[in-house]
Amino acid sequence: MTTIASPAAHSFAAASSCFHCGLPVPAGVDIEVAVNGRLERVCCHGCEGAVQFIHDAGLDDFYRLRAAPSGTRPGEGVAADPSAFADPEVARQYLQLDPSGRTHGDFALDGVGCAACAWVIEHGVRDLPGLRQARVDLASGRLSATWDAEDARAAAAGLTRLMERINALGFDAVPAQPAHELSLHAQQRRRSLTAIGIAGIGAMQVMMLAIADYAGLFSGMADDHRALVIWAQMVLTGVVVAWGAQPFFKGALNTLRAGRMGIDVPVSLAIGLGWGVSTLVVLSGGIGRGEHVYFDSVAMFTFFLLLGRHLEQSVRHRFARADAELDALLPAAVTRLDESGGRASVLPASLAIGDVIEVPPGGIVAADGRVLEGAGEVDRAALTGESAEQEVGPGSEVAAGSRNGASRLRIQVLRPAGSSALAAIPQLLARARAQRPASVHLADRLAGLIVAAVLAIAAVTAAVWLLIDPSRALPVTLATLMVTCPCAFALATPVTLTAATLRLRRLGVLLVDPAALERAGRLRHAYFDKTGTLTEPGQVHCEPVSGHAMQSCIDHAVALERDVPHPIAIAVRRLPVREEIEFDTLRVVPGSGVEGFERGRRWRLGRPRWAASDASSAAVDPAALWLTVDGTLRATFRLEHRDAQAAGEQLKPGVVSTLAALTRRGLELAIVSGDAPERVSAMAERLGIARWWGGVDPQRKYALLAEAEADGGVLYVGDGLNDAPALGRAGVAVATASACDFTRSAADAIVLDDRLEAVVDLLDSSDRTRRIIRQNLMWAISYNVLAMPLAVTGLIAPWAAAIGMSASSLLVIGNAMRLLRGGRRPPPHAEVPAWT
Amino acid sequence: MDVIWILIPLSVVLILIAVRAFVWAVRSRQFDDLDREAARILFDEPDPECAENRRQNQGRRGHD
Repeated sequence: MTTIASPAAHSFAAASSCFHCGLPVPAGVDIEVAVNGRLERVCCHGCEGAVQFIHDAGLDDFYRLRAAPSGTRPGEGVAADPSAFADPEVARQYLQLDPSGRTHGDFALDGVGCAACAWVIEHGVRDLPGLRQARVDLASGRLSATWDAEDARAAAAGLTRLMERINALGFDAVPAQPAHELSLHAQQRRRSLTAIGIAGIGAMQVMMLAIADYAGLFSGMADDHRALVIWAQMVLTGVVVAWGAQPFFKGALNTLRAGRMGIDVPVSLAIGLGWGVSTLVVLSGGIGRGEHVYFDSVAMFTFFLLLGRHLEQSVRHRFARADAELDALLPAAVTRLDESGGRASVLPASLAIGDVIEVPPGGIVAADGRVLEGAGEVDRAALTGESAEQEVGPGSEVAAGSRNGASRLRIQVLRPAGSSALAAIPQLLARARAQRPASVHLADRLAGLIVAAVLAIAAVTAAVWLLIDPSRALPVTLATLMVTCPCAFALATPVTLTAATLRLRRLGVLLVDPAALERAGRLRHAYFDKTGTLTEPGQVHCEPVSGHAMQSCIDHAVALERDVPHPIAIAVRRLPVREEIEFDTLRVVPGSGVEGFERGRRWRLGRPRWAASDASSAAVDPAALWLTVDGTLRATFRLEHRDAQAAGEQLKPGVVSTLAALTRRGLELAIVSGDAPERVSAMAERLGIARWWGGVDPQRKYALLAEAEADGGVLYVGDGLNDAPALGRAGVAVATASACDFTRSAADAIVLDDRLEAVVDLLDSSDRTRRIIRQNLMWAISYNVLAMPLAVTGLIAPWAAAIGMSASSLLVIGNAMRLLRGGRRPPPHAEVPAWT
Repeated sequence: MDVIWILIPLSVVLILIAVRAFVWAVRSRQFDDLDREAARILFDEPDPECAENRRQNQGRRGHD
């Protein structure tokens, strides 16, 4: 097990994505880890540590069996500092201490996506002292653990150890309150699974008995045997309807009570009619008259609809962990200073206005406040979506959620944690959700009409036949109800949406709200977030002068640029550091660069002419930074450009073609960004986008989206926390792969790999989906309309009605399945074999 | 064919029993995590010697 920092020559030059996290390996990074006799490249020392730990623990299967790499580097996620929980007072808030000496705690996990992740965590923590049980729940992304602890101190130590171990494995764990919502979801999933199981088992059995019945039509069957087979179908279908179809009946009742009409009403009517009519046929002696029953159709119909609904529900549940994730953006504990200078660790929620808190270097500010002592930069990325630093000093205000730079700040709390700008984001999102008009399916609008028509026609038929020939009134009315039964109609929309969801999944888009496909039909605008959605940070490339180690140059450069808010400095800071360098004095020379002294030697990083005493003007690239020691060149740092115009950022692949495709669709493009207006305007000009807003806060984004939505539908693509309310307001909201879970929870669809073209795929698929839904509804209604006169006049034979009904449903399903043809995902940027 | 007078009711009873068993299994949370159970057979139990390795490695790293 060795780590080799080798020169460029190795066999995996092509494999530029990290073995552990799957992110691209930055240029100039050369770390390899031996796993199973092979050398694998990783992108940083965090990943190296994780690979090493997993290998040493004998858990290499993780890499073989996981579905996809995590996509986040260890420590880059919402990592909470384990030591913050070493204080028993803080830890106690998250633990349930059992009088028998056991402690139970829940953790929200980040980066856990498949069974292999769950397995590696469960096995990786197994040898921790005192740990009795640790179980990962994949559906909710949570770990629940139980360990032995005699007192609160031991419990806190156990919690800290567990967090540290999970960090070592390359995942992030944050202690979390047991979420009521999650257990509710688990309950719903169990209920829907029960319904599916019952409907599935029942439908298969009913189908088997029905085949006996159909066979009997051709080969002959004793009447009493046929009666037996049909009675058995009736009993089994009764179970399916009474138990499995409950969600539909409840849904129908709820919408009717609210004075509305929904798809559940015709579904319930179809199921109720199918079973009720067939039962009446049996009880009124219809079997003897050779009449037909439809138990098999009813059972299969219920089963299929339940399946589709379950699929939709499980996708929705996976992205409904919003609140837990937002909590993780704030530190779990803060240091409060009292007047006498004493320190106490408290929860952010218990901070009051006027409290003084201390924020350590790199820590997260827990509440909006004013700086009393200390000066430096804070990163407001959480609020603006930009990784741009804000300079603060005594008297300046800082917002909750900002990440502190290198200095220690003392802050007086201005607003309680619950009313900060950060806390306003989820409230704004909730408001956005409430204000977005409920999308009305075409089917919903027609449903009322259909239901009324079915009932009215049946009533008229019964009345007329009672006058003409009372003995035939019942059979004819039953046949009419059967023919007009809106089975195909009720299937038309849900089956198509399920097929569309599957299709998009293959294209790399996870559709959370299928109704967005219908809303996509009236889009007029397409708004984009800039940073992270259209652009990504550029990479800095380090070229050392021969004879000097690259790593040492990087270490020094990162230490020099530690506090500089310039884009290139930010890019330099992203390089992986091996060793922390301490400079004695750091001085920023505006317009030139940074200077620092280490062990008496002067290091400079900046403009070549300034940094080096002997910079010959001929060989100097003006865009490069020079790292010099006492005036002698050590290394040059250069932004690797795919395009040279945007300082420190480059367009993501596929942006230009995506925007062109959207313009061709007639959408008006706009950029809404929290970044500085001049940078936004430069980017807008490059992309040929006329409308843009810069320096926009989440509230303003939300307002802009509301405005655009009022002017016709708007598509919004974003990835930041600050985009969440805007996503909630947009007609069609798409979150990109880099979005955090909170932002994802606000979106209708999530692009799974970092491929912006998927937005175009989404719109194309939505066109096809809407077309197929319309065809399906057309067909279903015209079948009912055509067959009805025959049924009403008593001309239709029972077997013909049965065939007609099944055929129309099958046609609807077959038409929906056309969506599954084609639509193969083009190879993503970094393909990872799944389960091979 | 009179045997079907027994067999069909019997099958209905058996199905009801199977449904009851399924409901019990769901309620006792056996279906809460389908992904995990599907993949479980693929994972080898970690080799106890490896845990030993790790302890030795950590010891060694502590020295240098």
